[in-house]
Amino acid sequence: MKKMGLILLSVALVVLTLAACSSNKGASESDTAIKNLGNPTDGDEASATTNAAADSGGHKTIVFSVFWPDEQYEQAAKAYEAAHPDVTIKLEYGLSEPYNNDSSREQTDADIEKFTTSTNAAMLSGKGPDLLDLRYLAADDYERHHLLENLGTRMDGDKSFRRTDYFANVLGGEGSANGPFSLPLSFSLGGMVGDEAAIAATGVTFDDRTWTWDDFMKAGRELVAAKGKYNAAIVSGEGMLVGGSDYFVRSVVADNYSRFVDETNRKASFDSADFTGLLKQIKGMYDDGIVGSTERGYFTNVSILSPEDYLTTLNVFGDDTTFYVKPHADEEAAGTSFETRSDIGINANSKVKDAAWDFLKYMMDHTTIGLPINKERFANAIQQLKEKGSITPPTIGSQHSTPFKVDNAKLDLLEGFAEAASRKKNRSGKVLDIISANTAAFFAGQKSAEDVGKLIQNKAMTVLNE
Amino acid sequence: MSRDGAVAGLFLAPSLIGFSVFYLIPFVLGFYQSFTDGAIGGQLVGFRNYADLLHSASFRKAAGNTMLFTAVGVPLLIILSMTLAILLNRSLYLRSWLRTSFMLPLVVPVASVVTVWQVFFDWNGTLNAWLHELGMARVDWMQSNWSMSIVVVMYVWKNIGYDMILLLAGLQSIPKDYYETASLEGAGRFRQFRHITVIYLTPTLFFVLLISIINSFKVFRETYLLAGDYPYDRLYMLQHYMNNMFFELDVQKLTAAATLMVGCIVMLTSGLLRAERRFRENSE
Repeated sequence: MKKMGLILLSVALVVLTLAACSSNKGASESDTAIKNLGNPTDGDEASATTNAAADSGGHKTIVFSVFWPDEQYEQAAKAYEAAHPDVTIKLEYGLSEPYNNDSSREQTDADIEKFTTSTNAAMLSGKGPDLLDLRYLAADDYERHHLLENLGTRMDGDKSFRRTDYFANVLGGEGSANGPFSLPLSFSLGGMVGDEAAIAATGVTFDDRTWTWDDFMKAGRELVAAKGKYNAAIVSGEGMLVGGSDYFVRSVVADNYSRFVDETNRKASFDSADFTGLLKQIKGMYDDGIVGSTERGYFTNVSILSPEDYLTTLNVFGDDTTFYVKPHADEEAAGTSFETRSDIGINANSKVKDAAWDFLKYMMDHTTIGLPINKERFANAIQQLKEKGSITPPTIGSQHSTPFKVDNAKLDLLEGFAEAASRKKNRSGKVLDIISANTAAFFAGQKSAEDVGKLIQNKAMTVLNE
Repeated sequence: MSRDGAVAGLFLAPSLIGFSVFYLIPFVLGFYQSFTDGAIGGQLVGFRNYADLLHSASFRKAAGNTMLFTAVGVPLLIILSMTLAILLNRSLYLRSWLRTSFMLPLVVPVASVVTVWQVFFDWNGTLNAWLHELGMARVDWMQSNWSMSIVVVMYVWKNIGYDMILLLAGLQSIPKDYYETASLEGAGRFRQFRHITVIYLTPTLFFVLLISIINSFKVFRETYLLAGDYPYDRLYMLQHYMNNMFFELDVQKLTAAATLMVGCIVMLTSGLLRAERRFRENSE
């Protein structure tokens, strides 16, 4: 009898544990359901019915997931909620605690990992946020698995959306069935700041609107040979920071990516003479002193983040400086290279896609930070800067900062650069990582270009054939 | 009798539940996933994921590498650990110290050891520095076909102690009288080894073989720590493929690959167990 009691007791315990497990799961599921619907008073059964009704009317909640807490989004959400009382926007951040200078890098990395894995899992199971800032997320993979709404069809199907209001090339994917699957709120321009006066003094001429890397190297050689103000033609690195060969290889190869990787046929050709030629060319630029790494040169690689940043950057490098367009590969159209910022996608399984799209449009039309994708906001930003008349650059460390006057003539050029934006810089990607990791030995003179090419080919094919 | 069964079931329940929750049920779900398309809700697509998988050149490479690794690593490991076990089975100077030292690799955390190996075999690492001193051309150990040999060495180093202990136990369970009788009858060393040691060690050997094969599939941890997610293609194992598929959210290919791998392991082990049974029946 005693034995029987024991057995019963343990059975009860086991059942209890199981029940606790399953009820936990149930609770978390209904939690997310409530989150998605913004209807905390409804129970499980009721949520099923509101599910269907959510898109057609009634109160809607848009869950917007972002890694970094963002003032811009907070403001947009507040303003949008004020204009649309039936919509609530719930911002969810990936960062676990407010960022400050003491925040450890490990903590941030751990947060990023947690953010990506939990978002991945939620997206794959058909849940997840309605809107996503795709930073740190595998946008390409989401796209491939049809987890993101096709914004190309959204743009085409929406009468109130005019592509001409935006910088068309930055927007991307003109009237196509395959994308884009995310839209940027703003962008940055990549190029070089050059010392115009010093270049003019050497008598070297070139046309930066159309130049290729070959043209650039030729001009660079001439500049160095002219023995003018500087020893090097270009200093690799962003702003005043000095970058290694890694940075240069990455940007040159990224610009030539389609020459070496055939994404559709899943083929790479890094063992070709083309690629080894390119590597040797880059190394040649170092060996000839065209690319310097320590001093100033005629050119410096820069990214322009905002109109203010544009003028500040030019000012930092001296009085007679100009922004030059980055050289391009032979095959592609000339134009300014750009990078999109704040790329936002809509979850294809969201219950409130229409509302999310409307909010996304609102954000695109009201973003004033950076170089806004909306042309009117862009023009406004420039106008405001002109009215302000002067800029006080932020003080960085001990660097002295003095206010300077806004140069209207230079500022007017910026819109032209933005209009000419045509080359999206694809800086990420496994193949590019492999390239920059494996070329170091070549630039250090330890391996031949052919060996490095073969090694990169070996690994790139593995990536492409997965 | 039936009550005994119930009690046995009850005592087994905790581990059974644990096993089901963490291994069996996820695997069955994964097995189901491998036959669906990626969409939510998921329609059955038959063997399409498997066909895709077999079309992937990287998967074939990974499978080939894993097989090659097992085929080279396991026999090497068994021969070496057998030799060690036989040597240490005699009275030898510092015997117990030696035995302990061979067990050490099992206890040392992998991550710390891998760092040392990395420093040793890096392109700008210790070994290449020595080669350079000696006036020889340096070798990119991790980025050439050498890389697999290094992982084989690492695998042997890591597992030799464990296998040796198992074999030692097997050796000590062979009655000494057999050898005495054999030597009285004039059997030489080699004959004794072939007709006594090998025969009576076979059941242990089967077990060691099984464990070694399973451990050879686990070498991914070391490889991953040593060479990252995209190593030289000689080192690219099945688990690399699965790991990368996981990060690309390709659940279908991942589960299909896992199912194939489990199928292979099950076939291998059941074959081995059958061979062992047959051997035992024959020897009785």
